Amino acid sequence: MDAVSPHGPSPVVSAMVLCDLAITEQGTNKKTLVGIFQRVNAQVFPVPQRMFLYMQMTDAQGTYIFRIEVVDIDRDNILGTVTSNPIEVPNRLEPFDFVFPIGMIIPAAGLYEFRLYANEAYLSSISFTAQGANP
Amino acid sequence: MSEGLELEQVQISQTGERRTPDPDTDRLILYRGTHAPPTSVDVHRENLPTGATPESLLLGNLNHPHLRLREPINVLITREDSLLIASIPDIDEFGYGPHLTAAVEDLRQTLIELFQTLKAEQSRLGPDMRQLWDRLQHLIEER
Repeated sequence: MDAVSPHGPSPVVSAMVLCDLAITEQGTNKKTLVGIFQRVNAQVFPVPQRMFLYMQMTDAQGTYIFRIEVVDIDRDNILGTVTSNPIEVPNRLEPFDFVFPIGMIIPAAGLYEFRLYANEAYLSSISFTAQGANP
Repeated sequence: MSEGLELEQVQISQTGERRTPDPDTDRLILYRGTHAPPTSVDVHRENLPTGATPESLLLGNLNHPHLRLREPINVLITREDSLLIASIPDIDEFGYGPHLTAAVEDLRQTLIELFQTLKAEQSRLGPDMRQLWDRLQHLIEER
């Protein structure tokens, strides 16, 4: 049996941002997000991409396992999932944030989405559009 | 010289677009969390469901500043032509959209508007609406 079982109220997502680079300042843990985007323009597909997913949440207290699904909306296909180890959040009133560096292959032009779950409950999502070269 | 703050006019622009792909990544990689304490993560790419639209979904929150779910709600997901329907049979409410997230967001808005309407009109509710209001209060609470 697991020593830690996930429990606690579902957090509220106050920010979910895709960007080229996220920098965390050592000591203060402050985040700097560089190159926020919602579209990827590529000459050819499939195309590998590296990006950062920033998330800020609040109203959480307890133990959480977060899961991110990377979804190809147009083809209704899950490209991959990322699951965290159990995370302890002590204070419901204090916001907390994460930065996930993510590398993925975008198979084709279309709409893509990152879906965020906490303890298997759906919380929020952010999408981006991949498009081909200008006609 | 003015002692007040002077704010520049806000410039509104289109959302950002990436034009240069990174060629060095070929699969889903997660390095580390930057939340303190650092979190380690596992990457799972096996045993994934074939489709990205489940038959049901556990809805964790309403993403509303004043309302929240008491417990995650089980939401049924069905497809009707090109639309997805996200429904809660217990209270006979639903939302719809072209994909899962849109349908769930529509359901959230439906629940929020229903809660606010019934709360405002609660002194004038008939028996059916009173019953619905009671059930809704078991699902949703004010912060």
